[in-house]
Amino acid sequence: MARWQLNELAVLHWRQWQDEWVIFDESSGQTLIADALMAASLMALEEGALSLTELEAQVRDDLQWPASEMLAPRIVTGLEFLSGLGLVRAENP
Amino acid sequence: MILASLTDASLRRRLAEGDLVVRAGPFGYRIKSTLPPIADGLRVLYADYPLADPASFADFSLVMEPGAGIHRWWRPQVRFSTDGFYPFEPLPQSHAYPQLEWAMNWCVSTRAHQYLMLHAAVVERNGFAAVLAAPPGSGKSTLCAGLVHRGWRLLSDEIALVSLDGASITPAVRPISLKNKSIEVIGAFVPGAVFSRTTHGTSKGSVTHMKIPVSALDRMGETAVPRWVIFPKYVADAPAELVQRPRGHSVLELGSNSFNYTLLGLTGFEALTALVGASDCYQFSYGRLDDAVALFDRLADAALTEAPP
Repeated sequence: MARWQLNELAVLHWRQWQDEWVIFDESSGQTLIADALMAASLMALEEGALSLTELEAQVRDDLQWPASEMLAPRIVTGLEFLSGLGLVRAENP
Repeated sequence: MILASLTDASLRRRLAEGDLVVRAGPFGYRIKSTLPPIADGLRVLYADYPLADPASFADFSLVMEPGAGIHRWWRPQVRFSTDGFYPFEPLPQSHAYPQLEWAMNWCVSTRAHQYLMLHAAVVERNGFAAVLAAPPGSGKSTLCAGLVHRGWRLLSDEIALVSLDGASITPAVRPISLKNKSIEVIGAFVPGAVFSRTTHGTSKGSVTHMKIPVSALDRMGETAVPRWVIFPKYVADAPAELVQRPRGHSVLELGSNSFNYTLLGLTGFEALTALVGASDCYQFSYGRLDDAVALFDRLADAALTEAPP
C-alpha cells in the first residue's frame, strides 16, 4: 500500500483561528488555508510517512471523529490538493 | 521649512537642479524636473510638507524629464527614471503629475522592504488603525478620503507600511488618489477639498489627487496600532454593513495584495498573521459615505471599551 509523506524540503509554520488553519511553507513560500481535517492530515505526516489506513486512524483519533463516519475519501481529496502543491506525495513500497 | 515657503522661482530652481527633497512619513523623495505640471502639482498638494536639506540623504530619487526622440515635436512625453533606471514606457506629458505620484508609489513598493507593504489604505482614530484593503474600483480611496475629512487620521491611501512584527503601522501620508466618479463624490462630500488638475485618458481613466489634512502631516511620525482589517466595497444604494470575515481568508487576501509578502518569506508570514491576529476582520459594503463614516465612528468608539482580539 502506498505511503503518504511530507515533502522532505517542506518546513511548515502554523496559525490557527477557530476552525481555520493558515500554513506557511518556508521552502516554497506558499501560504495555504486548511480545515481541521486537512490540517490534522498534514500534522500527522509531519511526524512521518503513513499509509492511508494509518493516516485515517490517526486523524480520527486526533479529531475524535465518530467511527460511523467515513473519513478516507475526504482525506484523499485533501492529500490530492496538497500533492498538487508539492507538499506531500505517495510513495509505493 | 515647508514647501509653501518657497517662492515659485525657488521651487522651480530646486526642481530643475534636483535639490527638492520632500519628506512624507519615513521617506525622503528627491525630485528633479523642469516640467511645469510637476511644479504646479507639488505646489497644490505638498504645500504643507516639510522639506529636507538639499544636501541630505533621500530614500528615493525621481527624475521626471521630457521624452527624447522625434516624438517630442508633436506628442510631448514624460519619462520617469530613478538612479538611471527607466522602469516604465514614456507617457503623454499631460500625464506628468499623476505619473510622478505613481512613480513615488513604485519606488516605495519596490524598495521599502523594512516593512510588510500591503496594497491598502490605512486610517486611524483613537489610536487604532483600520486597514482598508480592496482591489481598484471597490471604493477604497473614496471611503478613505471621506473618513479623513470626518475626524479620522490618514496614514496611507495606497501602501500600508506594516512593521515586521505586525504590531504597528507607519504613516506614509501622501495625497489621496481619486478617479472617475469618486472625484465628483468627494468634491461634494468635502466642501473646499483641494485637488490637483484632473488628468483624463490615463490607463485608470480620469484621475486626480487630493490634498490631505495638515493634521495628518503634523502626526506623520506617529505610528498606529492595527485594530481592524476591512475589505470595503461600494454598492449603489446599499446600507452600510459590516460582516465578520474569517481571519485565515483575510490573511490570504491581504497576502495576495501585498507588494512584498512573498519576498519577505517567513518574516512576511509572521508580520501578516500578527497583524490579522490583532484585528477584527470585516467585509464592508456601503452606498452612502455619510452612513459609512457613521458606522466607522461607532466602531472606533466601541474599541475604546472593548478588549482587542
